[in-house]
Amino acid sequence: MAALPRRIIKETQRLMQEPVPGISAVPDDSNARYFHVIVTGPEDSPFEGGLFKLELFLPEDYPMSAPKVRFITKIYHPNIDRLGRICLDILKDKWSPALQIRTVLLSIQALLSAPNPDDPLANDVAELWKVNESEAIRNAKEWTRRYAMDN
Amino acid sequence: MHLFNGVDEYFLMQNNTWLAHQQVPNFKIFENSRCTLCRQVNFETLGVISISRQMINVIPLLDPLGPSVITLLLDDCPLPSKESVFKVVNMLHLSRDTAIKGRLNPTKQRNICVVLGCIAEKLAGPRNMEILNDDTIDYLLTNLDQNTDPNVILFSLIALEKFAQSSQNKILIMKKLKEQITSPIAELEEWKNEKHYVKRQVGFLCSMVVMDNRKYSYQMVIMDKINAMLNTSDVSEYLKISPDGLEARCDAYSFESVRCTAHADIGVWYYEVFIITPGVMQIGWATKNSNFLNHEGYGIGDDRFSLAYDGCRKLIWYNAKSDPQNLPRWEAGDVLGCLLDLDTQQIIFSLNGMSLPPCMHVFTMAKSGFFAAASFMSFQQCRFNFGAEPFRYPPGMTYSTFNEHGSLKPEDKVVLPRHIFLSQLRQQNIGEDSCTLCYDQKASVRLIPCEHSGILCIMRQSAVRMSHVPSAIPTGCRRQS
Repeated sequence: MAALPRRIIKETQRLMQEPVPGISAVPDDSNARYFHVIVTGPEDSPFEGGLFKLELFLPEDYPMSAPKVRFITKIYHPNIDRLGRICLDILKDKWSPALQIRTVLLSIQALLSAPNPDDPLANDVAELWKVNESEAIRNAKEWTRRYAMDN
Repeated sequence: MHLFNGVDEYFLMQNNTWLAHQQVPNFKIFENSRCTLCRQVNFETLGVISISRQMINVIPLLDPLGPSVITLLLDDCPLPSKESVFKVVNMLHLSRDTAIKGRLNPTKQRNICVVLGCIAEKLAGPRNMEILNDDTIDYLLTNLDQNTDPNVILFSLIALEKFAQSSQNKILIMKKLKEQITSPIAELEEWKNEKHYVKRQVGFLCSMVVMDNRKYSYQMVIMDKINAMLNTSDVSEYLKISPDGLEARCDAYSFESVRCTAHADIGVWYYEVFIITPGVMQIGWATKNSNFLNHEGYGIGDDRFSLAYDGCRKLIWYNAKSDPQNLPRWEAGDVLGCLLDLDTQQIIFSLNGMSLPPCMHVFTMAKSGFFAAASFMSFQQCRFNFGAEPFRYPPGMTYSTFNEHGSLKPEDKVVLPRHIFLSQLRQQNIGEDSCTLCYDQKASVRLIPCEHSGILCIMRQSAVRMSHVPSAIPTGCRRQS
């Protein structure tokens, strides 16, 4: 239990006191840098009605480098691969220490509403999304029903 | 350097035979062999199942790296689907009966418990609860009977601990434990001073279990003679430290590190480490500049500011490069001596009094500020003696010890259980006028030309000058500047 930066303590307190609607982020009992996250699928997206589990980890030099975030629930999305890794600029080169856990999770939720098949991580998914969007959306709905609704 | 992060060893099962830790000449081959093993099967449904099955039957009980290998290989598999995890669990036919019948084959039961621990760690939350059904709990709790092989007890405890990471499971396990007439945890805790090294590990883990019907171990230890210990504020997040601050253990699959509370600047210094598990640990000396990159697999001896010996692989480590040593592999009960001579600038390790050749490399980067330090692979444990007890193999020259020169305030001698420590931290009051980046200091900087204040402190004002952090400035300012 290396000394925990006050920034992380403050963010954790705020997440508990003023939770973001549609997102839950709970710190692990034994590791204050690890958060158990649940994001609800946005309305009017193929992920509507799903509850998606993610894990979020704050690295040693947070907030000077971005949190590490990964989907645990399987999801059919052109910017998320089968290991749950997410292609999102603010998690990489567009990270800023002024961003927070809260803003990162909101951005991920927004990514579910607006898939970007031109900057793909899951190539097969992105391909179908471009060639036959309605079938891709059907797949995304099916995966949501199968993997994100059983809890 | 963590096992799967290095150059030197790999594990392979061919025709169901265990080929343990062979030296591999170059990294490419190592990479490929590991990939063949892990990628030859379709992971979506078969991977975890076939790997688990193979390993449960094949990994020997006494190989010091066995459990770590199971953990590392499973950790390397992509996240398994719910179905495949259920297939694995069903394949094992867990119940009270299998636990009792399994006593005849402790190797298999030990490996099953390791696999269960991995699954528990991989699947946090609701799925974790589905797997920890009555049969699985009965199996694991039946294993805690003292007639079971201590190796099986040890890994049953670890699996239970990992399942208990989700709070509903914790409640369930505690409830089942209370239903028992005598508490197996309290009985097994008596093993913490056993001569049998596996039993001793069981005792260590039980002394860390938090149950509401007993006093915490940290409230009962006598710390009068202790003036130096492992630093609970200078340790990576998953390492477990005993209530007296002198024994450490890792059950995570990261490479956990710790430094001690005191450091050496001039003269000759010595401490000893009592090896409790014979697996991979890198023990030696480090300055504050050495980083603990536990998730990347780097620890003591893996940068330019630390030097360490790993007596399992028989390697001296400096700057993540290793140097083979001609000594027997260390065993539980061995004593590693760590001598730091700052006058002649050399570090000399010894195993049971047999000295290794002196090492000098680290002194090109650091001349003072050395702490005793160590890194632990999964399931490894050792005990430090900074001089509060007589040394087993004292060096034949004048030397100092941390216990004789160190001093600790009474409050710094307390090793709080992690959940108490974290809940105290979370109750800290942090002012709203703090710097919004670090919250360590008051936001005292005024931004020009927008005249905004109350955002940043002096320490962090450079953050707004970095081109890649435009959003550190409020939107309104960005428009004006």
